[in-house]
Amino acid sequence: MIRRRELIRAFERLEDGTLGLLVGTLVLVAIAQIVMRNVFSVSLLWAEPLIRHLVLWSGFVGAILATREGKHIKIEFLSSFLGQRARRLVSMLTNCASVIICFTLFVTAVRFVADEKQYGLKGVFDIPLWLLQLIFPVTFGVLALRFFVHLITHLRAIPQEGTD
Amino acid sequence: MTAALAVLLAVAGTPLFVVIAFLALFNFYVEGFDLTVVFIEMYRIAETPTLTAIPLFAFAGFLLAESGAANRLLRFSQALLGWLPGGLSIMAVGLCAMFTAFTGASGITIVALGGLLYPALLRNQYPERFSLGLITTSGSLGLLFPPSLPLIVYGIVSKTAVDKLFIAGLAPGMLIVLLLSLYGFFRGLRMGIAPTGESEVGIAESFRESFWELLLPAVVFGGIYGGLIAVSEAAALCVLYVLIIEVFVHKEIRITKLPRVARETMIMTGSNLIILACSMAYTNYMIDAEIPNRLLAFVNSHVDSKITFLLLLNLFLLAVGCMVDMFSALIVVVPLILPIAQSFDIHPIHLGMIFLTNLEIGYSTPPVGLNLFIASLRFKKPLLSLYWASLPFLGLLLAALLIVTYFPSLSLFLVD
Repeated sequence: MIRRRELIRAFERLEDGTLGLLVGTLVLVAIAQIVMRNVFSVSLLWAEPLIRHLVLWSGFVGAILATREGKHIKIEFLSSFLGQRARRLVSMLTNCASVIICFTLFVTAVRFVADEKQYGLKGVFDIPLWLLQLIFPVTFGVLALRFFVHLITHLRAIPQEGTD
Repeated sequence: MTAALAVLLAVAGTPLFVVIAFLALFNFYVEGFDLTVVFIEMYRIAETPTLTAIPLFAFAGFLLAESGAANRLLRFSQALLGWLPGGLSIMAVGLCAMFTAFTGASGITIVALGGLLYPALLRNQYPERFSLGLITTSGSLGLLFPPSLPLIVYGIVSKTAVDKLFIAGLAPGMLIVLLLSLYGFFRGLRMGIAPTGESEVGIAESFRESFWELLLPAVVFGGIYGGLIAVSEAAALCVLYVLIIEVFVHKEIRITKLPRVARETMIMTGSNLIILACSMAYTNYMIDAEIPNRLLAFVNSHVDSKITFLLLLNLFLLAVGCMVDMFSALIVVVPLILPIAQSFDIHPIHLGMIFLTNLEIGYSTPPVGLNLFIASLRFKKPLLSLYWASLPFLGLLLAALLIVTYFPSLSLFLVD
Protein backbone atom coordinates (compact mmCIF):
# COMPACT_ATOMS: atom_id res chain seq x y z
CA MET A 1 0.00 0.00 0.00
CA ILE A 2 2.72 2.40 1.06
CA ARG A 3 4.80 1.49 -1.94
CA ARG A 4 1.94 2.34 -4.28
CA ARG A 5 1.47 5.71 -2.64
CA GLU A 6 5.18 6.39 -3.04
CA LEU A 7 4.95 5.45 -6.67
CA ILE A 8 2.07 7.87 -7.25
CA ARG A 9 3.94 10.60 -5.38
CA ALA A 10 7.05 10.03 -7.52
CA PHE A 11 4.92 10.12 -10.65
CA GLU A 12 3.33 13.42 -9.60
CA ARG A 13 6.75 14.88 -8.91
CA LEU A 14 7.79 13.81 -12.39
CA GLU A 15 4.76 15.64 -13.84
CA ASP A 16 5.53 18.78 -11.85
CA GLY A 17 9.22 18.66 -12.72
CA THR A 18 8.57 18.16 -16.42
CA LEU A 19 6.19 21.08 -16.48
CA GLY A 20 8.62 23.34 -14.65
CA LEU A 21 11.41 22.42 -17.04
CA LEU A 22 9.21 23.00 -20.12
CA VAL A 23 7.88 26.37 -18.98
CA GLY A 24 11.33 27.50 -17.82
CA THR A 25 12.82 26.67 -21.22
CA LEU A 26 9.86 28.27 -22.98
CA VAL A 27 10.27 31.56 -21.14
CA LEU A 28 14.06 31.60 -21.51
CA VAL A 29 14.05 30.82 -25.25
CA ALA A 30 11.26 33.32 -25.91
CA ILE A 31 13.17 36.05 -24.08
CA ALA A 32 16.53 35.08 -25.62
CA GLN A 33 14.98 35.31 -29.07
CA ILE A 34 13.81 38.91 -28.76
CA VAL A 35 16.98 40.01 -27.01
CA MET A 36 19.18 38.43 -29.68
CA ARG A 37 17.17 39.91 -32.49
CA ASN A 38 16.66 43.40 -31.20
CA VAL A 39 19.94 43.94 -29.38
CA PHE A 40 22.40 41.83 -31.37
CA SER A 41 20.49 41.70 -34.68
CA VAL A 42 20.84 37.92 -34.78
CA SER A 43 17.77 35.87 -35.71
CA LEU A 44 17.56 32.50 -34.03
CA LEU A 45 15.78 30.55 -36.74
CA TRP A 46 15.29 27.50 -34.55
CA ALA A 47 13.73 29.51 -31.72
CA GLU A 48 10.27 30.02 -33.23
CA PRO A 49 9.46 26.35 -33.99
CA LEU A 50 11.06 25.30 -30.70
CA ILE A 51 8.85 27.74 -28.77
CA ARG A 52 5.75 26.50 -30.55
CA HIS A 53 6.51 22.90 -29.59
CA LEU A 54 7.28 23.93 -26.02
CA VAL A 55 3.84 25.56 -25.87
CA LEU A 56 2.22 22.37 -27.18
CA TRP A 57 4.12 20.21 -24.69
CA SER A 58 3.73 22.41 -21.64
CA GLY A 59 0.07 23.01 -22.50
CA PHE A 60 -0.64 19.29 -22.65
CA VAL A 61 1.29 18.58 -19.45
CA GLY A 62 -0.75 21.42 -17.95
CA ALA A 63 -3.87 19.57 -19.08
CA ILE A 64 -2.60 16.46 -17.29
CA LEU A 65 -2.20 18.47 -14.09
CA ALA A 66 -5.65 20.01 -14.62
CA THR A 67 -7.04 16.47 -14.59
CA ARG A 68 -5.18 15.67 -11.38
CA GLU A 69 -6.61 18.72 -9.66
CA GLY A 70 -10.06 18.52 -11.22
CA LYS A 71 -9.58 21.89 -12.90
CA HIS A 72 -10.83 21.09 -16.37
CA ILE A 73 -13.41 23.40 -17.85
CA LYS A 74 -16.77 21.74 -17.38
CA ILE A 75 -20.36 22.59 -16.61
CA GLU A 76 -20.96 22.17 -12.90
CA PHE A 77 -24.60 23.05 -13.04
CA LEU A 78 -26.17 19.67 -12.38
CA SER A 79 -23.96 18.57 -9.51
CA SER A 80 -24.87 21.58 -7.39
CA PHE A 81 -28.45 20.33 -7.23
CA LEU A 82 -27.76 16.69 -6.50
CA GLY A 83 -27.30 14.86 -3.24
CA GLN A 84 -24.06 13.13 -2.40
CA ARG A 85 -25.05 9.75 -3.78
CA ALA A 86 -26.51 10.98 -7.04
CA ARG A 87 -23.52 13.22 -7.49
CA ARG A 88 -21.18 10.26 -7.09
CA LEU A 89 -23.19 8.28 -9.61
CA VAL A 90 -23.11 11.10 -12.18
CA SER A 91 -19.42 11.57 -11.53
CA MET A 92 -18.81 7.88 -12.21
CA LEU A 93 -20.68 8.19 -15.46
CA THR A 94 -18.66 11.18 -16.64
CA ASN A 95 -15.40 9.55 -15.57
CA CYS A 96 -16.39 6.42 -17.44
CA ALA A 97 -17.03 8.45 -20.61
CA SER A 98 -13.72 10.25 -20.14
CA VAL A 99 -11.84 6.95 -19.79
CA ILE A 100 -13.37 5.62 -23.00
CA ILE A 101 -12.71 8.77 -25.03
CA CYS A 102 -9.18 9.34 -23.72
CA PHE A 103 -8.30 5.69 -24.26
CA THR A 104 -9.58 5.88 -27.86
CA LEU A 105 -7.51 9.02 -28.34
CA PHE A 106 -4.50 7.25 -26.82
CA VAL A 107 -4.77 4.27 -29.18
CA THR A 108 -5.27 6.58 -32.17
CA ALA A 109 -2.33 8.74 -31.10
CA VAL A 110 -0.09 5.68 -30.92
CA ARG A 111 -1.08 4.78 -34.49
CA PHE A 112 -0.56 8.39 -35.60
CA VAL A 113 2.94 8.53 -34.13
CA ALA A 114 3.80 5.11 -35.61
CA ASP A 115 2.68 6.32 -39.06
CA GLU A 116 4.72 9.46 -38.66
CA LYS A 117 7.78 7.42 -37.71
CA GLN A 118 7.47 5.55 -40.99
CA TYR A 119 7.36 8.76 -43.01
CA GLY A 120 10.56 9.79 -41.21
CA LEU A 121 10.06 13.57 -41.45
CA LYS A 122 12.19 15.83 -39.30
CA GLY A 123 11.36 18.99 -37.37
CA VAL A 124 13.23 21.61 -35.39
CA PHE A 125 16.93 20.72 -34.65
CA ASP A 126 16.48 17.71 -36.95
CA ILE A 127 14.48 16.00 -34.24
CA PRO A 128 12.26 13.39 -35.91
CA LEU A 129 8.66 14.67 -36.03
CA TRP A 130 7.29 11.56 -34.35
CA LEU A 131 9.33 12.36 -31.24
CA LEU A 132 7.86 15.86 -31.15
CA GLN A 133 4.41 14.32 -31.47
CA LEU A 134 4.99 11.80 -28.72
CA ILE A 135 3.23 14.20 -26.36
CA PHE A 136 -0.16 13.10 -27.80
CA PRO A 137 -0.04 9.41 -26.79
CA VAL A 138 1.68 10.33 -23.51
CA THR A 139 -0.98 12.90 -22.59
CA PHE A 140 -4.01 10.84 -23.51
CA GLY A 141 -2.49 7.71 -21.98
CA VAL A 142 -1.96 9.48 -18.66
CA LEU A 143 -5.38 11.13 -18.88
CA ALA A 144 -7.12 7.79 -19.48
CA LEU A 145 -5.24 6.39 -16.48
CA ARG A 146 -6.16 9.39 -14.31
CA PHE A 147 -9.85 9.19 -15.13
CA PHE A 148 -9.70 5.44 -14.50
CA VAL A 149 -8.21 6.03 -11.05
CA HIS A 150 -10.96 8.59 -10.32
CA LEU A 151 -13.53 6.01 -11.36
CA ILE A 152 -12.04 3.32 -9.13
CA THR A 153 -11.91 5.73 -6.21
CA HIS A 154 -15.63 6.38 -6.62
CA LEU A 155 -16.39 2.67 -6.89
CA ARG A 156 -14.42 1.94 -3.74
CA ALA A 157 -16.25 4.62 -1.80
CA ILE A 158 -19.71 3.22 -2.49
CA PRO A 159 -19.81 0.27 -0.05
CA GLN A 160 -18.47 2.49 2.73
CA GLU A 161 -21.25 4.98 2.17
CA GLY A 162 -23.83 2.20 2.13
CA THR A 163 -23.07 1.31 5.73
CA ASP A 164 -23.89 4.69 7.25
CA MET B 1 -28.57 11.50 -31.49
CA THR B 2 -24.85 12.10 -31.14
CA ALA B 3 -25.45 15.74 -30.40
CA ALA B 4 -28.02 14.86 -27.73
CA LEU B 5 -25.60 12.45 -26.10
CA ALA B 6 -22.87 15.10 -26.21
CA VAL B 7 -25.13 17.67 -24.55
CA LEU B 8 -26.09 15.11 -21.90
CA LEU B 9 -22.44 14.35 -21.18
CA ALA B 10 -21.62 18.07 -21.01
CA VAL B 11 -24.46 18.87 -18.62
CA ALA B 12 -23.51 15.91 -16.43
CA GLY B 13 -20.14 17.62 -15.92
CA THR B 14 -17.82 15.74 -18.27
CA PRO B 15 -14.74 17.85 -19.03
CA LEU B 16 -15.61 19.74 -22.20
CA PHE B 17 -12.53 18.66 -24.13
CA VAL B 18 -13.76 15.07 -23.72
CA VAL B 19 -17.18 16.01 -25.08
CA ILE B 20 -15.71 17.79 -28.11
CA ALA B 21 -13.23 14.95 -28.74
CA PHE B 22 -16.16 12.54 -28.59
CA LEU B 23 -18.00 14.54 -31.27
CA ALA B 24 -14.91 14.61 -33.49
CA LEU B 25 -14.02 10.94 -33.08
CA PHE B 26 -17.57 9.71 -33.52
CA ASN B 27 -18.33 11.78 -36.61
CA PHE B 28 -15.04 10.98 -38.32
CA TYR B 29 -15.64 7.30 -37.58
CA VAL B 30 -19.15 7.36 -39.06
CA GLU B 31 -17.89 9.12 -42.19
CA GLY B 32 -15.29 6.40 -42.58
CA PHE B 33 -12.18 8.51 -41.97
CA ASP B 34 -8.98 7.20 -40.46
CA LEU B 35 -9.19 8.57 -36.92
CA THR B 36 -5.55 9.71 -36.96
CA VAL B 37 -6.87 12.77 -38.82
CA VAL B 38 -7.76 14.05 -35.33
CA PHE B 39 -4.07 14.34 -34.50
CA ILE B 40 -3.10 15.88 -37.82
CA GLU B 41 -5.45 18.68 -36.78
CA MET B 42 -4.26 18.80 -33.17
CA TYR B 43 -0.66 19.08 -34.32
CA ARG B 44 -1.62 22.38 -35.95
CA ILE B 45 -1.35 23.77 -32.40
CA ALA B 46 2.42 23.55 -32.90
CA GLU B 47 2.14 25.33 -36.24
CA THR B 48 0.22 28.39 -35.09
CA PRO B 49 2.65 31.24 -34.36
CA THR B 50 0.36 33.57 -32.36
CA LEU B 51 -0.59 30.78 -29.99
CA THR B 52 2.70 31.12 -28.13
CA ALA B 53 1.49 34.49 -26.87
CA ILE B 54 -1.18 32.83 -24.72
CA PRO B 55 0.92 31.07 -22.04
CA LEU B 56 3.39 33.97 -21.96
CA PHE B 57 0.80 36.70 -21.39
CA ALA B 58 -0.94 34.43 -18.90
CA PHE B 59 2.32 33.87 -17.02
CA ALA B 60 2.84 37.64 -16.82
CA GLY B 61 -0.73 38.01 -15.55
CA PHE B 62 -0.36 35.32 -12.88
CA LEU B 63 2.89 36.94 -11.77
CA LEU B 64 1.11 40.29 -11.42
CA ALA B 65 -1.68 38.64 -9.45
CA GLU B 66 0.88 37.00 -7.15
CA SER B 67 2.70 40.27 -6.51
CA GLY B 68 1.34 43.25 -4.62
CA ALA B 69 0.60 45.06 -7.88
CA ALA B 70 -3.18 45.08 -7.31
CA ASN B 71 -2.71 46.58 -3.86
CA ARG B 72 -0.45 49.30 -5.16
CA LEU B 73 -2.68 50.09 -8.13
CA LEU B 74 -5.70 50.23 -5.81
CA ARG B 75 -3.89 52.74 -3.60
CA PHE B 76 -3.02 54.84 -6.64
CA SER B 77 -6.56 54.86 -8.01
CA GLN B 78 -7.86 55.63 -4.53
CA ALA B 79 -5.61 58.65 -4.40
CA LEU B 80 -6.89 59.69 -7.82
CA LEU B 81 -10.62 58.90 -7.45
CA GLY B 82 -11.18 58.86 -3.71
CA TRP B 83 -13.12 62.14 -3.84
CA LEU B 84 -15.70 60.76 -6.29
CA PRO B 85 -19.05 59.26 -5.15
CA GLY B 86 -18.96 55.60 -6.12
CA GLY B 87 -15.25 56.04 -6.74
CA LEU B 88 -14.35 52.74 -5.14
CA SER B 89 -16.70 50.78 -7.40
CA ILE B 90 -15.21 52.52 -10.43
CA MET B 91 -11.71 51.55 -9.29
CA ALA B 92 -12.90 47.98 -8.79
CA VAL B 93 -14.24 47.84 -12.34
CA GLY B 94 -11.05 49.26 -13.83
CA LEU B 95 -8.69 47.03 -11.85
CA CYS B 96 -10.67 43.87 -12.60
CA ALA B 97 -10.75 44.73 -16.30
CA MET B 98 -6.99 45.10 -16.36
CA PHE B 99 -6.31 41.84 -14.53
CA THR B 100 -8.81 39.84 -16.56
CA ALA B 101 -7.25 41.10 -19.77
CA PHE B 102 -4.00 39.46 -18.68
CA THR B 103 -5.24 36.33 -16.96
CA GLY B 104 -8.30 35.49 -19.06
CA ALA B 105 -11.56 34.79 -17.29
CA SER B 106 -9.83 32.08 -15.31
CA GLY B 107 -11.46 33.15 -12.10
CA ILE B 108 -8.17 34.44 -10.75
CA THR B 109 -9.58 37.96 -10.89
CA ILE B 110 -12.44 36.99 -8.60
CA VAL B 111 -10.23 34.95 -6.32
CA ALA B 112 -7.26 37.31 -6.05
CA LEU B 113 -8.82 40.75 -6.55
CA GLY B 114 -12.19 39.84 -5.07
CA GLY B 115 -10.48 39.09 -1.79
CA LEU B 116 -9.11 42.61 -1.83
CA LEU B 117 -12.07 44.52 -3.27
CA TYR B 118 -15.10 42.83 -1.71
CA PRO B 119 -14.17 43.65 1.91
CA ALA B 120 -13.15 47.15 0.81
CA LEU B 121 -16.56 47.70 -0.81
CA LEU B 122 -18.42 46.46 2.27
CA ARG B 123 -16.26 48.61 4.53
CA ASN B 124 -17.31 51.64 2.52
CA GLN B 125 -21.02 50.90 3.06
CA TYR B 126 -21.74 49.48 -0.38
CA PRO B 127 -24.64 47.01 -0.06
CA GLU B 128 -23.66 43.35 -0.09
CA ARG B 129 -25.76 42.53 -3.14
CA PHE B 130 -24.27 45.36 -5.19
CA SER B 131 -20.72 44.43 -4.16
CA LEU B 132 -21.18 40.75 -4.92
CA GLY B 133 -22.73 41.49 -8.31
CA LEU B 134 -19.95 43.88 -9.17
CA ILE B 135 -17.14 41.47 -8.27
CA THR B 136 -18.87 38.54 -9.95
CA THR B 137 -19.41 40.25 -13.30
CA SER B 138 -16.00 41.86 -13.08
CA GLY B 139 -14.49 38.38 -13.31
CA SER B 140 -14.90 38.43 -17.06
CA LEU B 141 -14.78 42.18 -17.55
CA GLY B 142 -11.86 43.15 -19.72
CA LEU B 143 -11.95 40.21 -22.11
CA LEU B 144 -12.18 42.76 -24.91
CA PHE B 145 -8.91 44.38 -23.85
CA PRO B 146 -5.54 43.19 -25.09
CA PRO B 147 -3.92 40.77 -24.51
CA SER B 148 -6.88 38.62 -23.43
CA LEU B 149 -6.79 34.92 -24.19
CA PRO B 150 -10.19 34.68 -25.94
CA LEU B 151 -9.26 37.64 -28.12
CA ILE B 152 -6.16 35.77 -29.33
CA VAL B 153 -8.10 32.54 -29.73
CA TYR B 154 -10.77 34.29 -31.80
CA GLY B 155 -8.01 35.67 -34.01
CA ILE B 156 -6.59 32.18 -34.53
CA VAL B 157 -9.92 30.47 -35.15
CA SER B 158 -11.26 33.16 -37.50
CA LYS B 159 -7.87 33.85 -39.13
CA THR B 160 -8.07 37.55 -38.25
CA ALA B 161 -4.95 39.57 -37.43
CA VAL B 162 -4.55 39.52 -33.65
CA ASP B 163 -2.87 42.94 -33.48
CA LYS B 164 -5.91 44.46 -35.22
CA LEU B 165 -8.26 42.70 -32.81
CA PHE B 166 -6.26 44.15 -29.92
CA ILE B 167 -6.97 47.67 -31.13
CA ALA B 168 -10.55 46.95 -32.12
CA GLY B 169 -11.40 45.72 -28.62
CA LEU B 170 -10.41 48.98 -26.95
CA ALA B 171 -13.54 51.02 -27.74
CA PRO B 172 -16.18 48.35 -26.98
CA GLY B 173 -14.21 47.40 -23.87
CA MET B 174 -14.14 51.01 -22.70
CA LEU B 175 -17.88 51.26 -23.35
CA ILE B 176 -18.55 48.38 -20.96
CA VAL B 177 -16.20 49.78 -18.32
CA LEU B 178 -17.86 53.17 -18.71
CA LEU B 179 -21.40 51.80 -18.34
CA LEU B 180 -20.52 49.86 -15.20
CA SER B 181 -18.63 52.84 -13.79
CA LEU B 182 -21.60 55.14 -14.37
CA TYR B 183 -23.83 52.63 -12.60
CA GLY B 184 -21.42 52.56 -9.67
CA PHE B 185 -21.29 56.35 -9.65
CA PHE B 186 -25.09 56.80 -9.56
CA ARG B 187 -25.60 54.07 -7.00
CA GLY B 188 -22.92 55.75 -4.92
CA LEU B 189 -24.68 59.13 -5.23
CA ARG B 190 -28.15 57.82 -4.49
CA MET B 191 -27.17 55.73 -1.52
CA GLY B 192 -25.20 58.65 -0.18
CA ILE B 193 -22.05 56.60 0.15
CA ALA B 194 -19.38 58.93 1.36
CA PRO B 195 -16.38 59.16 -0.92
CA THR B 196 -13.46 57.25 0.55
CA GLY B 197 -11.82 60.65 0.85
CA GLU B 198 -8.16 61.26 1.32
CA SER B 199 -6.25 58.02 1.14
CA GLU B 200 -3.37 57.43 3.49
CA VAL B 201 -0.88 57.95 0.69
CA GLY B 202 -0.81 60.93 -1.63
CA ILE B 203 -1.06 60.90 -5.41
CA ALA B 204 2.66 61.40 -5.94
CA GLU B 205 3.67 58.71 -3.48
CA SER B 206 1.21 56.08 -4.78
CA PHE B 207 2.10 56.99 -8.35
CA ARG B 208 5.73 56.26 -7.60
CA GLU B 209 4.74 52.94 -6.02
CA SER B 210 2.93 51.66 -9.08
CA PHE B 211 4.97 53.54 -11.69
CA TRP B 212 6.46 50.40 -13.27
CA GLU B 213 3.11 48.63 -13.58
CA LEU B 214 1.53 51.73 -15.11
CA LEU B 215 4.26 51.69 -17.71
CA LEU B 216 3.50 48.07 -18.66
CA PRO B 217 0.92 48.72 -21.43
CA ALA B 218 3.24 51.22 -23.07
CA VAL B 219 6.19 48.82 -22.98
CA VAL B 220 4.26 45.89 -24.40
CA PHE B 221 1.96 47.52 -26.90
CA GLY B 222 4.37 50.21 -27.91
CA GLY B 223 6.48 47.40 -29.32
CA ILE B 224 3.67 45.90 -31.36
CA TYR B 225 2.28 49.11 -32.80
CA GLY B 226 5.67 50.69 -33.26
CA GLY B 227 6.07 47.83 -35.71
CA LEU B 228 9.09 46.49 -33.79
CA ILE B 229 7.84 43.10 -32.69
CA ALA B 230 5.13 40.53 -33.34
CA VAL B 231 2.40 39.76 -30.82
CA SER B 232 4.13 36.61 -29.56
CA GLU B 233 7.38 38.51 -29.07
CA ALA B 234 5.52 41.23 -27.18
CA ALA B 235 4.28 38.48 -24.88
CA ALA B 236 7.84 37.38 -24.18
CA LEU B 237 8.85 40.97 -23.57
CA CYS B 238 5.93 41.32 -21.20
CA VAL B 239 7.09 38.31 -19.16
CA LEU B 240 10.63 39.68 -19.02
CA TYR B 241 9.38 43.08 -17.90
CA VAL B 242 7.04 41.74 -15.23
CA LEU B 243 9.72 39.34 -13.95
CA ILE B 244 12.16 42.20 -13.59
CA ILE B 245 9.78 44.58 -11.82
CA GLU B 246 8.13 42.08 -9.46
CA VAL B 247 11.13 39.87 -8.66
CA PHE B 248 13.98 42.37 -8.72
CA VAL B 249 12.53 45.87 -8.32
CA HIS B 250 9.64 45.34 -5.90
CA LYS B 251 11.06 42.03 -4.62
CA GLU B 252 7.50 40.81 -3.95
CA ILE B 253 7.91 37.42 -5.61
CA ARG B 254 10.77 35.20 -4.53
CA ILE B 255 12.49 33.23 -7.28
CA THR B 256 11.64 29.99 -5.49
CA LYS B 257 7.95 30.83 -5.98
CA LEU B 258 8.25 31.00 -9.77
CA PRO B 259 7.74 27.25 -10.44
CA ARG B 260 4.44 27.33 -8.56
CA VAL B 261 3.23 30.37 -10.52
CA ALA B 262 4.33 28.69 -13.77
CA ARG B 263 2.39 25.60 -12.75
CA GLU B 264 -0.82 27.56 -12.07
CA THR B 265 -0.38 29.33 -15.41
CA MET B 266 -0.01 26.12 -17.37
CA ILE B 267 -2.96 24.43 -15.68
CA MET B 268 -5.10 27.35 -16.82
CA THR B 269 -3.53 27.51 -20.29
CA GLY B 270 -3.48 23.73 -20.70
CA SER B 271 -7.15 23.29 -19.86
CA ASN B 272 -7.95 25.88 -22.55
CA LEU B 273 -5.41 24.56 -25.06
CA ILE B 274 -6.71 20.99 -24.96
CA ILE B 275 -10.21 22.27 -25.72
CA LEU B 276 -8.78 24.25 -28.63
CA ALA B 277 -6.89 21.16 -29.85
CA CYS B 278 -9.98 18.94 -29.78
CA SER B 279 -12.10 21.67 -31.37
CA MET B 280 -9.64 22.01 -34.25
CA ALA B 281 -10.34 18.38 -35.07
CA TYR B 282 -14.08 18.82 -34.74
CA THR B 283 -14.07 21.98 -36.86
CA ASN B 284 -12.23 20.08 -39.55
CA TYR B 285 -14.98 17.48 -39.56
CA MET B 286 -17.67 20.16 -39.82
CA ILE B 287 -15.95 21.83 -42.75
CA ASP B 288 -15.41 18.49 -44.44
CA ALA B 289 -19.08 17.63 -44.03
CA GLU B 290 -19.87 21.08 -45.47
CA ILE B 291 -21.93 21.96 -42.42
CA PRO B 292 -21.04 25.69 -42.57
CA ASN B 293 -22.22 25.80 -46.20
CA ARG B 294 -25.46 24.03 -45.45
CA LEU B 295 -26.07 26.30 -42.49
CA LEU B 296 -25.30 29.29 -44.70
CA ALA B 297 -27.83 28.18 -47.32
CA PHE B 298 -30.41 27.56 -44.62
CA VAL B 299 -29.94 30.94 -42.97
CA ASN B 300 -29.87 32.78 -46.31
CA SER B 301 -33.16 31.27 -47.33
CA HIS B 302 -34.86 32.26 -44.07
CA VAL B 303 -33.24 35.50 -43.03
CA ASP B 304 -32.93 38.37 -45.42
CA SER B 305 -31.81 41.38 -43.46
CA LYS B 306 -28.57 42.04 -41.64
CA ILE B 307 -30.44 43.45 -38.65
CA THR B 308 -32.55 40.35 -38.20
CA PHE B 309 -29.51 38.14 -38.58
CA LEU B 310 -27.61 40.05 -35.91
CA LEU B 311 -30.58 39.88 -33.58
CA LEU B 312 -30.95 36.13 -34.12
CA LEU B 313 -27.20 35.66 -33.70
CA ASN B 314 -27.25 37.41 -30.34
CA LEU B 315 -30.28 35.49 -29.14
CA PHE B 316 -28.56 32.29 -30.19
CA LEU B 317 -25.29 33.21 -28.47
CA LEU B 318 -27.07 34.30 -25.29
CA ALA B 319 -28.93 31.01 -25.21
CA VAL B 320 -25.68 29.14 -25.77
CA GLY B 321 -24.05 31.19 -23.01
CA CYS B 322 -26.80 30.15 -20.62
CA MET B 323 -26.37 26.48 -21.39
CA VAL B 324 -22.71 25.77 -21.98
CA ASP B 325 -19.31 27.24 -21.34
CA MET B 326 -19.07 30.17 -23.74
CA PHE B 327 -15.34 29.85 -24.40
CA SER B 328 -15.67 26.33 -25.78
CA ALA B 329 -18.74 27.41 -27.70
CA LEU B 330 -16.78 30.29 -29.22
CA ILE B 331 -14.18 27.94 -30.69
CA VAL B 332 -16.74 25.51 -32.07
CA VAL B 333 -19.27 28.05 -33.33
CA VAL B 334 -17.04 30.71 -34.94
CA PRO B 335 -16.18 28.65 -38.06
CA LEU B 336 -19.91 28.00 -38.55
CA ILE B 337 -21.00 31.60 -38.20
CA LEU B 338 -18.13 33.31 -40.02
CA PRO B 339 -19.25 32.52 -43.60
CA ILE B 340 -22.83 33.52 -42.79
CA ALA B 341 -21.68 36.79 -41.27
CA GLN B 342 -19.61 37.50 -44.35
CA SER B 343 -22.60 36.91 -46.60
CA PHE B 344 -24.39 39.61 -44.61
CA ASP B 345 -21.39 41.88 -45.02
CA ILE B 346 -20.40 41.82 -41.37
CA HIS B 347 -16.73 42.48 -40.81
CA PRO B 348 -14.89 39.58 -39.07
CA ILE B 349 -13.52 42.03 -36.50
CA HIS B 350 -16.99 43.36 -35.74
CA LEU B 351 -18.22 39.78 -35.46
CA GLY B 352 -15.38 39.12 -33.03
CA MET B 353 -16.48 41.98 -30.81
CA ILE B 354 -20.04 40.63 -30.80
CA PHE B 355 -18.75 37.18 -29.85
CA LEU B 356 -16.49 38.49 -27.11
CA THR B 357 -19.18 40.71 -25.60
CA ASN B 358 -21.41 37.66 -25.52
CA LEU B 359 -18.56 35.78 -23.92
CA GLU B 360 -18.29 38.40 -21.16
CA ILE B 361 -22.00 38.05 -20.54
CA GLY B 362 -21.96 34.25 -20.76
CA TYR B 363 -19.54 33.97 -17.85
CA SER B 364 -22.13 35.52 -15.53
CA THR B 365 -25.43 34.22 -16.89
CA PRO B 366 -27.37 31.79 -14.75
CA PRO B 367 -27.45 28.90 -14.47
CA VAL B 368 -24.02 27.78 -15.69
CA GLY B 369 -21.93 30.97 -15.83
CA LEU B 370 -18.47 30.21 -14.49
CA ASN B 371 -18.10 33.52 -12.60
CA LEU B 372 -21.13 32.67 -10.51
CA PHE B 373 -19.64 29.38 -9.37
CA ILE B 374 -16.25 30.87 -8.62
CA ALA B 375 -17.76 33.76 -6.66
CA SER B 376 -20.06 31.37 -4.82
CA LEU B 377 -17.05 29.33 -3.72
CA ARG B 378 -14.85 32.32 -2.99
CA PHE B 379 -17.32 34.29 -0.88
CA LYS B 380 -19.26 31.31 0.48
CA LYS B 381 -22.60 32.61 -0.77
CA PRO B 382 -25.41 30.46 -2.19
CA LEU B 383 -25.55 30.36 -5.96
CA LEU B 384 -29.07 31.75 -6.01
CA SER B 385 -28.07 34.98 -4.25
CA LEU B 386 -25.36 35.48 -6.85
CA TYR B 387 -27.91 35.06 -9.64
CA TRP B 388 -29.84 37.96 -8.11
CA ALA B 389 -26.79 40.05 -7.39
CA SER B 390 -25.49 39.94 -10.94
CA LEU B 391 -28.82 40.72 -12.63
CA PRO B 392 -28.51 44.54 -12.82
CA PHE B 393 -24.98 44.18 -14.13
CA LEU B 394 -26.14 41.70 -16.75
CA GLY B 395 -28.72 44.26 -17.83
CA LEU B 396 -25.96 46.80 -18.41
CA LEU B 397 -23.85 44.28 -20.30
CA LEU B 398 -26.85 43.51 -22.52
CA ALA B 399 -27.20 47.21 -23.28
CA ALA B 400 -23.53 47.27 -24.22
CA LEU B 401 -24.08 44.23 -26.43
CA LEU B 402 -26.85 46.03 -28.31
CA ILE B 403 -24.60 49.02 -28.92
CA VAL B 404 -21.64 46.87 -30.00
CA THR B 405 -23.89 44.89 -32.33
CA TYR B 406 -25.70 47.72 -34.06
CA PHE B 407 -22.87 50.26 -34.22
CA PRO B 408 -20.14 48.42 -36.11
CA SER B 409 -18.08 51.57 -36.36
CA LEU B 410 -17.47 51.37 -32.60
CA SER B 411 -15.46 48.20 -33.24
CA LEU B 412 -13.96 49.30 -36.52
CA PHE B 413 -13.09 52.99 -36.36
CA LEU B 414 -9.80 52.43 -34.54
CA VAL B 415 -8.71 49.73 -36.98
CA ASP B 416 -9.20 51.63 -40.21
